[in-house]
Amino acid sequence: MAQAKYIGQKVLRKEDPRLLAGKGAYVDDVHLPHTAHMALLRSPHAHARILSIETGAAASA
Amino acid sequence: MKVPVEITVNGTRHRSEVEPRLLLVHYLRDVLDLTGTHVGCETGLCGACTILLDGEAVKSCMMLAVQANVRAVETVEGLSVEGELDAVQRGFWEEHGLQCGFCTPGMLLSAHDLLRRSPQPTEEEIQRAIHGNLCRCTGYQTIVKAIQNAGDKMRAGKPSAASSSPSTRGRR
Ligand code: FES
Ligand code: FES
Repeated sequence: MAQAKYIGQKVLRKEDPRLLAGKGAYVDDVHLPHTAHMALLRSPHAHARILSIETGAAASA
Repeated sequence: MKVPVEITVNGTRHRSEVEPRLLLVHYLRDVLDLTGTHVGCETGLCGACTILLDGEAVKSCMMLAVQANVRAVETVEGLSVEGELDAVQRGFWEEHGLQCGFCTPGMLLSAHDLLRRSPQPTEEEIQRAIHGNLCRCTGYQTIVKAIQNAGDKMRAGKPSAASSSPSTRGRR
């Protein structure tokens, strides 16, 4: 029987050279223009009405 | 207030003005755009941010950029020579020492630090050398083999190209 090309052979992964050289692109490495960041502000009151939220400082950041 | 720093990274001298609170890992990733060095935890636990500082492995999230002033940093981007993977990178490739690759830059530099100090490390020495580097994929055994493979290549002087024949020694 002819020697199989892959069966029983060690195969080198094609994606590895990129990852080994630090050229992977993980989510934290991607910077898109106009990315918005968010933060959660929780109410210090268990039961209350939201009358207004001051967003000026965040919006200008 | 920003302060001037002069840091040699992968052989190139960089001058920048940085905030004193800037972590070295963020300096590398955000100021120099070298995103191969990863941030896994930012608390010194995972080792994904490991670099060489004056040749010694350190976690770059545990240092300020200003502490690296007038010192030399090596990152994963500096390992390949003219686009050729070095012995450690090839060892990881041949022995399947990576899956997702997130921990890999840190592993490679910890391996470099070890192999410089101990060219033919025992399995135990390797385990000790990478105990500050977490890997969620491989289960570590292939990483240990990868570092042994890299040590063999370094001691042989001229490493064989990974593309030709992956090592088939009886260490598996
Ligand atoms: S990011 Fe530095 S040890 Fe995890
Ligand atoms: S290869 Fe995925 S964390 Fe190590």
